[in-house]
Amino acid sequence: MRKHIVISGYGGQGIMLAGGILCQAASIERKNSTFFPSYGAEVRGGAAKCQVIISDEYIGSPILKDIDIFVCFTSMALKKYSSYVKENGIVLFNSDMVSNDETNVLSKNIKKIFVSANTLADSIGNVLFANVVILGAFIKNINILQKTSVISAIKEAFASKKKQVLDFNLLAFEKGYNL
Amino acid sequence: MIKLLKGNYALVEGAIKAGIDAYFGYPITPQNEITEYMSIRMREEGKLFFQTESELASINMTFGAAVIGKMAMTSSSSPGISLMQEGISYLIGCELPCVIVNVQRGGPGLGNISGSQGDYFQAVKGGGHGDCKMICLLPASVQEMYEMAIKAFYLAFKYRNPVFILTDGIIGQMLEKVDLLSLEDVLKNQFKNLSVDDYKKMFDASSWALTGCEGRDSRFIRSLYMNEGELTKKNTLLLEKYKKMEQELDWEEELISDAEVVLVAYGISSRINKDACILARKSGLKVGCFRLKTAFPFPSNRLKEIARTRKILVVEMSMGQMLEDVKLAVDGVNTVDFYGISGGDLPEVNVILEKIKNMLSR
Repeated sequence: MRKHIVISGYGGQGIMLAGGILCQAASIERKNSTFFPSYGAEVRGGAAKCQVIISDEYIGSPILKDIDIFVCFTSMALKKYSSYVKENGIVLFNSDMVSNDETNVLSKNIKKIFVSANTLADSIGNVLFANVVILGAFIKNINILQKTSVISAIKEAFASKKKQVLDFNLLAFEKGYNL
Repeated sequence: MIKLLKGNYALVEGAIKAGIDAYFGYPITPQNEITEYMSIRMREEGKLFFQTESELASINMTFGAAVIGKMAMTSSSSPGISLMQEGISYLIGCELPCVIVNVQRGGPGLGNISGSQGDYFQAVKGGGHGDCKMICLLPASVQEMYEMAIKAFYLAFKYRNPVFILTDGIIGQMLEKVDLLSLEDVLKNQFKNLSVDDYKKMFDASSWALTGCEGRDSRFIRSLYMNEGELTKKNTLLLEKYKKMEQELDWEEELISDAEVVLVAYGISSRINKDACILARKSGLKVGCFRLKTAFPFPSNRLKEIARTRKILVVEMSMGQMLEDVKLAVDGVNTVDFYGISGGDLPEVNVILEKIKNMLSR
């Protein structure tokens, strides 16, 4: 098994955090995993992208050319990376940021999953949880990582924050998972 | 302890495990995580962290810490290293130990902030003006960023010479599993036979450092030799030291014995070679991998030996720098092909496979 994942949106949406959690969850399952970030100079608002590779075998370059799973947070990200998604690949959309019509650029063999991540995140108190909501939907729909290991990775990611922050994120994950 | 860390963070953990006293750094992408993480970790450890006003200040403060016998380190990325070169030469001239890290980015000039291997000449052919040499270590994984930082400090004090860690923006910024091994275990991996006690003893600088001369004769550390013949004598001694450094030669080879083509690289390119090698073997092509772990000293003899019966393909993220050293080593006994890509792009496995097929059909 080897999966190429790209998560992209703009700075401030938690793109890097979401990628880091997937990478960590894979590591918890003793799979090989790499994460590689790229972003603009802006702290918020610039283009942000991370590449995650999860594999049972050796991973040479952490940079990938073709995408198995694309987590798309903005229209700009869709325009930039839609052509790299493999036939029979999967795209998860934050449907509060990308309209249905825009997704027609993808070929018919690509599976689309729509998650109103902003709305769901807002319902538990803050739109910032949208990244973790999408992670929930990701794990439910795509069978590459166990739910328990992702939850452990989320716990590790928020270990240094207030417990309340962790609790909200776990709630956000469940929201996405139980869609 | 197994963790998921960025290469730059792992390097910091390695330096701390080694016992670093002082770090001086100025921000530049893609090495920023070193300075950032040092600012947290060095304070936690009660050691000196200093964000300098420029790379010139970084290298000269490193000089200052080294001259009083402290374990000092600085880091930067390509353009910043250019600024440091005067200081590097002075450190070599004064025979002072320190660790210098270059997380290479695209060049020349400001270039871009992607990973690159365009500073090979700068690092390996001296590092500064004059007859300079530095041991140059080439990590190719997050694990090696950790372990080679530990190794670098020891070698710096062993030879009283700066040790250079030449890595790139990909290894520095990528996140992967790392085992933060005990000092004992790292020494097992990186040295043939070195105890933790002997490792630590190496950092005793009491016989040469400038620590105030109360109760002993005064000492003079300098790189200026104006009297007739004095500098020639000094440089001859340095040359002898550089020759001794050659025993620190290190490399790794895989699937060489029956190989018809051997892929040669260092750092991130060597990992892409390995990917290509695995695919090539699956399709029945006899391909092996040779990875340099030191650029100075350079594994000339071994490469020549390999090349006697095998074709060589050098893969590098530059327009052909290490290639020149490989050609010198191979010395015409066989053909040396080249795949170089510059400007922040990475070599592609498909192109490597295509090159291999062409070489085999010749």
